[in-house]
Amino acid sequence: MSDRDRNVDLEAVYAALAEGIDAHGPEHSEMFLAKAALLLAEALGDEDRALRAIADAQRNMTGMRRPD
Amino acid sequence: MKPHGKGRWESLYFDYPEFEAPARDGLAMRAPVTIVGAGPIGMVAALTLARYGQPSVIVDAKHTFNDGSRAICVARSSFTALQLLDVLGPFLDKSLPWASGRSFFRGRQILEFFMPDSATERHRPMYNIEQQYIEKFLHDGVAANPLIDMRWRTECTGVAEAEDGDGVALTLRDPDGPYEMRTDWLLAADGARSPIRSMMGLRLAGQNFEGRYIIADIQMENPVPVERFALFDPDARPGSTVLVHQQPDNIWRIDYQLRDDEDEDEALREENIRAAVQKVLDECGYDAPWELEWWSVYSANTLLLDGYRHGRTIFIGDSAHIVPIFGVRGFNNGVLDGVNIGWKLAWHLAGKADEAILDSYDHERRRATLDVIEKSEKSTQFMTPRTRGFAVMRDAALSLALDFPFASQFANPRNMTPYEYHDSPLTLPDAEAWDAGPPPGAAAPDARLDGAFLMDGFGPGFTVLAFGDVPGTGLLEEHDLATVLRLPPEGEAADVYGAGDGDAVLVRPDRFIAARWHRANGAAIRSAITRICAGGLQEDGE
Ligand SMILES: Cc1cc2nc3c(=O)[nH]c(=O)nc-3n(C[C@H](O)[C@H](O)[C@H](O)COP(=O)(O)OP(=O)(O)OC[C@H]3O[C@@H](n4cnc5c(N)ncnc54)[C@H](O)[C@@H]3O)c2cc1C
Repeated sequence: MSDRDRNVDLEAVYAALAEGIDAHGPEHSEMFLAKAALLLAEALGDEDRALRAIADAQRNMTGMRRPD
Repeated sequence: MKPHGKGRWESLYFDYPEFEAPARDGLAMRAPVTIVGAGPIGMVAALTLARYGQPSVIVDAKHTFNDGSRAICVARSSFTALQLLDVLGPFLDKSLPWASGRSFFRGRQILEFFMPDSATERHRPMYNIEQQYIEKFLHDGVAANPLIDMRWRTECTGVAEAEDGDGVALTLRDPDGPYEMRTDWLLAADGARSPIRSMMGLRLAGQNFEGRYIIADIQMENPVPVERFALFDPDARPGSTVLVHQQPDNIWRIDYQLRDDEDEDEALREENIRAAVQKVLDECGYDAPWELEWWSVYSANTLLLDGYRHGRTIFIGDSAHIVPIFGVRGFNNGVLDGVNIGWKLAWHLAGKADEAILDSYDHERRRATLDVIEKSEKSTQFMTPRTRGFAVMRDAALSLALDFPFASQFANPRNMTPYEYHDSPLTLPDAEAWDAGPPPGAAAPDARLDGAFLMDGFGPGFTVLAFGDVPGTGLLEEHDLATVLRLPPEGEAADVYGAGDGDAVLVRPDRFIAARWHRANGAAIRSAITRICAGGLQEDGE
């Protein structure tokens, strides 16, 4: 089964993360996202894929305009 | 430090003896081994040498033991060593055994951990006892031993390889002034600030972490079970980590981390110590009255010497390495140094081992320290995060741990079993496959046997565990090479060692496993002992 066949409603995940960031504000968003990442990695149960996702997340970080 | 009005050697629970320097008359000016420093590690080394019949001189600049409780957690591996040195009795009477602990995050329990323990072991995983007692009990053994020449109030002020190549020339100074002495071997057990290290132009290398801890001892009657508490981000000290330990004599150790923005001198002032301790006690729910005993500051360093042996000078204990407080390894790691060099030097001095065996001390004990450092770096990084990233992740893990047990494992103290000498030149790798049991290089485990313990029967030197029918072992006893324990091929000892009929395990004097065989015989074991004593089992290029 490829990743694309999976039944993941990324729209809902996307919105939930956005709402979480809004709810916790700049001060606590970092910790909220860190917790979410640890929980997702635990659920994934695959260290290599988790590390790959973390590496992928670090690409194209510069040159992006920060939302205010 | 001590409360206002109290002297450095005044204590609520411990009477410091006052030792005098020995009379100069008749003092030996030549010794096979001289140990500088009568801290715990210097004394362990002297007792180990004496255990194998080798005399030594110990000098210490002070007139009494170190002040303060310092290293309070004594691991099973150290108890095994103390048993070998015949000084264990008073430690068993005085110390508090423990095997579990709890961690809290913002007042809520997130973890209860249990250190691995087993009924097959005589000793518990950990014992708490103040370092003054450790030093006193070791010193009782030293003072009673005619092979050990203990010289208090005697400072080593100079050290040089003798120009005539005959040993090491030492300059010592006691209340009567300086004198010169020669020694064949010098063990530098002179502590973290080692003057010998400086005199020889050597430096510790490694990382100097920023984490600073205050360690404060109080006396308080508070009869609760002995365990270790870790408080992360407690209300008492937001943003910092607090550890609470119980010691004998109703002494409690409160360790608390200083935040980066806290001034050390300010934090060390008595009124600030008192206020900080009170807040921690309040948070723990301890409301008994207490008295302040002693406090100090400790930083989470990881530093070690590039080489532990420099010609005829060998560094042991804190002079060779400084490790962070969290792994409780400062003392326990040093004990294994002292026993390791002790038996090897004794074998060499007795003409039973080549000088090359001494190099295996550096090989084994430096790797052991590097392993401690690697393990404790993980704990240190968790307890005192060095960067913002690690601080965020630490808080994330702790906050998750309130609801999810998987996340609490980050807060679990790392394994405290001793380092295994798998790649040591003295370790013979298995020639055939073994399904179970500790491999060569591991610490020898204990087992129950006939109402006592297996290790009680170990010899002072090499011990051979012969399971069932192992031919030719009489030879080892005839040549005084090893103590042979003839054991049933089934039962607890066989289970623990993964051994069956015809198998044998060779245990070194310091109670680490050197080799094991299926279908063993006395000749093979004898040749292994010979090669160990030649300083190496492995061929070149292996
Ligand atoms: C304040 C403090 C708190 C500590 N807390 C902890 C803790 O909580 N947990 C832990 O595991 N460890 C702790 N430690 C570390 C622990 O005490 C050491 O690991 C242990 O004492 C090491 O023993 P040692 O014999 O190598 O050195 P030391 O105990 O330092 O002994 C060295 C000895 O050498 C003597 N000496 C030095 N120079 C000379 C000289 N030139 N001539 C003659 N004698 C000399 C000194 O007088 C001293 O007696 C603490 C240390 C300190 C200082």
